[in-house]
Amino acid sequence: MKNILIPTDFSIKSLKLVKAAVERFPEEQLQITLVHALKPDHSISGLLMLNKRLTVHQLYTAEFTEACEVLRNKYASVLKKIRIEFYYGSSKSYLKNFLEARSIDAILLARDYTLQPPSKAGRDLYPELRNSGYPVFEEPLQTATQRTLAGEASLSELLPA
Amino acid sequence: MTVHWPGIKTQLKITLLYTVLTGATILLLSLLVYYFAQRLSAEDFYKRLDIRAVMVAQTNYPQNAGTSDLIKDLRNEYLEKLPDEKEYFREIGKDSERVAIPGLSLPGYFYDNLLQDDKAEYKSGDAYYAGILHRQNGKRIIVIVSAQNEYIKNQLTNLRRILLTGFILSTVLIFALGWFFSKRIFLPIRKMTRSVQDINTENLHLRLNVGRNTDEVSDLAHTFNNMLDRLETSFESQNNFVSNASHELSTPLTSIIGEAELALQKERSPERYREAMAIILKESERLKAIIQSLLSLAQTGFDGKKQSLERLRADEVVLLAKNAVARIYPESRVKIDYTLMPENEEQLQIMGNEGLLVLALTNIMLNACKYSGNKEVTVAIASGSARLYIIVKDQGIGIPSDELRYIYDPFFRASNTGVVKGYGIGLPLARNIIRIHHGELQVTSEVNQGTEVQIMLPVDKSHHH
Repeated sequence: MKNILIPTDFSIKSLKLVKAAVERFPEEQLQITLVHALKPDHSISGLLMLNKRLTVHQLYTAEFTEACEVLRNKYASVLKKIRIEFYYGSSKSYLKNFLEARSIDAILLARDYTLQPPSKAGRDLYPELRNSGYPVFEEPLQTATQRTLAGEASLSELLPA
Repeated sequence: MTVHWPGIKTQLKITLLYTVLTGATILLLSLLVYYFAQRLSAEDFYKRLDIRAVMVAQTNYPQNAGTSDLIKDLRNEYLEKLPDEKEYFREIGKDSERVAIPGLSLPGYFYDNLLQDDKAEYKSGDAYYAGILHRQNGKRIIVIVSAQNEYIKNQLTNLRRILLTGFILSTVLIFALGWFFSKRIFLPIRKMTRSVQDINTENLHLRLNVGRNTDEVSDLAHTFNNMLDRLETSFESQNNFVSNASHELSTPLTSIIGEAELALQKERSPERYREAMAIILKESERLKAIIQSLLSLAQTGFDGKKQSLERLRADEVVLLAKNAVARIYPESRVKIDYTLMPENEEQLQIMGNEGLLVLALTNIMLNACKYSGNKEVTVAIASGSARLYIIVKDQGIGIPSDELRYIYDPFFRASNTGVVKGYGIGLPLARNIIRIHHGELQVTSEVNQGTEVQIMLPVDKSHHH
């Protein structure tokens, strides 16, 4: 059983890395953690109310969870779980603890795709993950050069270009 | 011109029924109130007469000498004189033969009760009679006091008037309220009737507004819409056949006729004839294949039997549709994409009518092939948490974005269809079939890039273990 960490921007396109993970670790049971990094809210109301934490679930759409479900069904025998998590840290030790706590075995990054977080608070976790000391695999996403017909929210984003 | 006001009859009926029921209840209640008030006042009056009878007895047959005057004084001072008050007494002997007081026409049972219970009551018109049997030193005296019950008569008349007025007023009020409420209740039904009247064969795609409630009225609207779905589907599948037949058949027919005419123009070599015959044979076979597949598509589901639902595997349905497309357009290129196929085949199970679903998919795929000049069309199957997705993607001419919302209107054809023949029936038909299966159809398109049709159907989980 391997725990794989994949940063996501909640685009269905980015879920292609799940497929890449299954192909990279054949014959392995996988548990995948999709992580979305957010800048912590330092404003007074943010610190008091934790409102950002409460609204993070609006960042991803029903189509996104449905796409996760499609992948779970497709790789039912190897994919044990797909979990969505939020990462608020900014220090190296926080990241280390985060990865350790989830006993991550490998990190998968997209080689040819820059994450486009849906909110201003989102941030790029790639550089930190590359320096984390964990095994990092950079996979090609093979996204179409032009945007797909149905836009960002369609399952067809998961199909090979 | 008479105005037809649908629903008015039922509305009136309901209002009247409601009024009668409520009115009857109020009437019953009023009668009960009146009856008990009358009984109570009569009892009360008899008691007053009783007291007077006792006093009459005590005055005329006193226990001790002297009490007679005392009681008389008491009576004059504290007991009011009742209207038309009269008193009678008569001493009777041991024999109970002659007890009746002369001058009074009282029935025999009054005296019988009197002798038996020591007291009796009787009422004739407004006159009340109360009698007691007084025993004094072995003597038995019958004392009867009678009086008119004027006061209570007035009270009861008053009560009667109040109850009657109340009954009439509340009945009128109930009728008005009943009318108002039944009108409100029937308002959605009247609206529905109006919108159903607007639907005919020209605009069979119109649907009733179901609203958000889950009451009987929206159930009715749902039922109407389901019926319209089925009606429209059967109507369109016949149109579909005619339109498909008329232009799919013309291509091979034209080449058969052309080839035959060419061969017959002048004397030709046997090889040339053979060649012509071979072409005619090939085209005829193609014609036969097209007719067969169109007929089988047109017949499915609407062969007079009820549209039966069965458990199907989505990938098999897709394969059947692909084969049907290949028979009609031999040069089409449909590729089934298995990259998102679920591992577990249970996730591919759907409840549906095979013929109808194949017809819907065939129409969508035929469109994809037709409007992309036979470029590759991919059909992907995926399964989510409770829904099955079939994605048909082409690289064709697309649909202009401002025309996308008309694509389900029957006979609508996009402005860029150009030379490609069609009647605008396939997609509305497919949408209806998907709707009958409680699914959804989503079309996204970009001009000259292609079109993507996403079909969502509920996964049948009834056989899951």
